[in-house]
Amino acid sequence: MKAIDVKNITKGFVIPHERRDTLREWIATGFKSHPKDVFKALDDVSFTVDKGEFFGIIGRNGSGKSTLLKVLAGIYPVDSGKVVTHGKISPFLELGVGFNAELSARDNIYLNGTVLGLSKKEIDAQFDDIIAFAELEKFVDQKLKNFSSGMQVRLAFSVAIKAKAEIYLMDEVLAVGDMAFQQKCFEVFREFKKQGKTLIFVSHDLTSVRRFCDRCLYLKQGHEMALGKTEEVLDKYVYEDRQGLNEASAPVHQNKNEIPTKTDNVKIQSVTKQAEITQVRFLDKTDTENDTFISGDAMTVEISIQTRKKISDPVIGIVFFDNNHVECFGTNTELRNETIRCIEGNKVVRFEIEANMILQGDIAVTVAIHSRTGEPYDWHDKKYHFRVMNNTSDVGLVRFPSHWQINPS
Amino acid sequence: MKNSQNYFELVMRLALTDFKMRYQGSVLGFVWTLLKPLLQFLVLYMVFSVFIRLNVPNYQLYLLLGIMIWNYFSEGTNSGLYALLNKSNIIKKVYFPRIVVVFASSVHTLITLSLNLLIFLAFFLLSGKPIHLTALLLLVDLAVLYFLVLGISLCLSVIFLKFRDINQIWEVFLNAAFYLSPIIYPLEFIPAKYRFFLFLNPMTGLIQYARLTVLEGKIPNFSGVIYVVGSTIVILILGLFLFTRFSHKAAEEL
Repeated sequence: MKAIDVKNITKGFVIPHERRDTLREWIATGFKSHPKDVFKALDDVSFTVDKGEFFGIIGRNGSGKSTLLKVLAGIYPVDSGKVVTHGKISPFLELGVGFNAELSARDNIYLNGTVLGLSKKEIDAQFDDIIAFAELEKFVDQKLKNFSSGMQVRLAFSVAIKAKAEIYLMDEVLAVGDMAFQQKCFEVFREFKKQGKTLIFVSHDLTSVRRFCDRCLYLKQGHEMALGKTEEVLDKYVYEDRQGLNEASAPVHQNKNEIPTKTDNVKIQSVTKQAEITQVRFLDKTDTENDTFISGDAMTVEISIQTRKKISDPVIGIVFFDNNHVECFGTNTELRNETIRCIEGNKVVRFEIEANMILQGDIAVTVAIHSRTGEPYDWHDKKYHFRVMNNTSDVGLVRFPSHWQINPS
Repeated sequence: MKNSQNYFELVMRLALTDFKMRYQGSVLGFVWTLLKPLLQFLVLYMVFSVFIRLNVPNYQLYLLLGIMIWNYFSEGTNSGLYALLNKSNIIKKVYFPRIVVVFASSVHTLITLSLNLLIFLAFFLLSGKPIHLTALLLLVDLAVLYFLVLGISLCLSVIFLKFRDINQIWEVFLNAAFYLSPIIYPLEFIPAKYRFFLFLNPMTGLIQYARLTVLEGKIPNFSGVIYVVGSTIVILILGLFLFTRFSHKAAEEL
């Protein structure tokens, strides 16, 4: 049985060349209509979601995910096409809608609950449950502004799951909260699944999408790129769509600035530049350049070197750091007993990783070339970045190839 | 997409929250709700009764009632104007009929009016004036006022989506209308041939009839009432029309 049936919906936003917001501007421009551009946030999108299904919507920033969710919720009207929903849809997208920092937790529960369509009676009946689930028994009458963001999220989530609906829409809800709380959320989701509720889940966090969603829709600039089993859609998203990465919206590009590079001045100043690292590329298991990798997959770091004059017996090294500057892994050609006899002109060296053991996170990479005696030719300190997506439910920075062995007792 | 649920609770919850939030963080808190019209009354009373020496019977009660009714109109329409904008955080995230926020704003200011009326009642009882049975008609008067404010709020809130300077215009308009309504002066001060024009403003009727029924124990003339009620209905219908026509895109225009 279908829960949601979306047929050829298109939604555009008008981008006037000159925005006129005031009556004065309208009068000044003589009420003439200006040429307008329509930005199509959703272009001919169709899909159905079955009852009891957990459905994911993925895509990069500006791909239309959130617009689609708003259309489903009825917040945005569509330009053309049709959305049919069967069953009560939860009217909210984000946690803590209407939360007011100046009000107490108690008042916020009533406010948020009412916004979500609960009656006062229903909230009264479930009030203790909500507080207990959020673990905020001691803070019921504290103002929300004194809460940590984690506490606020817990409170919001606890109210949200009380909203009675058959179809839930959730936008990036799991992006926040500590691990223990996330675990709780997962349990709630499992409970939802048991009860046969339908959940539409929008996220950047591919790990949770993989964990929960039966099927996925992959949007790119308002177009449907893929629709089907989560595994297949995610593979397409991560590995086949490189074009999107170069269009300024890829998360890793934004993160580059967030990783401060602690530069080792001594090493940099004394760089002789007899050899120069001209390019470092990260290649995925299909040997194509990428900046996002799935944990456990093979990957390759391709280092291009150019020399001014012939240098002999250089050493090339590579170190991986997580975003707290913790050295995760490092090695060089010398340590691996590899000898590069000499380099003259250009040379490309490949560091091939059979299985990338990083579980998740943004990784910064230092690449260097120096002589056997340690004299640096070129040293790029944490200059290169890639991201690793967790495709498991494990937690942590690295993943050991491992399994549980339980002997029957 | 339609959830058949009772939105009445949402209206009340939002109105109550707005009322709570209004004087949040101030020492006197909601006492300001009562203090504000009193201070306003004191200033106007000083100017017009002590300095200028208007000779109007029952001027204190006369003025106080006028100020309270006017304040409801002015605060009600002003808060209605911002109703959609102030709730943009939930409008963008949750679906519900958008008219809920305008109702909430009108109810929120209604709470203020009720408290103000309690003050008026106290003053009235202290003054020892006779209580007329016609005073009950004040409730009808206020009901019409409520719908007038609601109608204007509906218009203004959606116009504000398109024209962000409507708030400036409305402020000037309110200022002018304050002096064009018989709040500080009795209607009799206006030459008879101009009085008709003053009555074109429905607020003139609403203020005048409130005083007539409460202070003088008289019943307003029929044609005047018809005009006030009629113009309120027209404005309300216009408001509903504009609102249903333009509010569905509120989430993207805010």
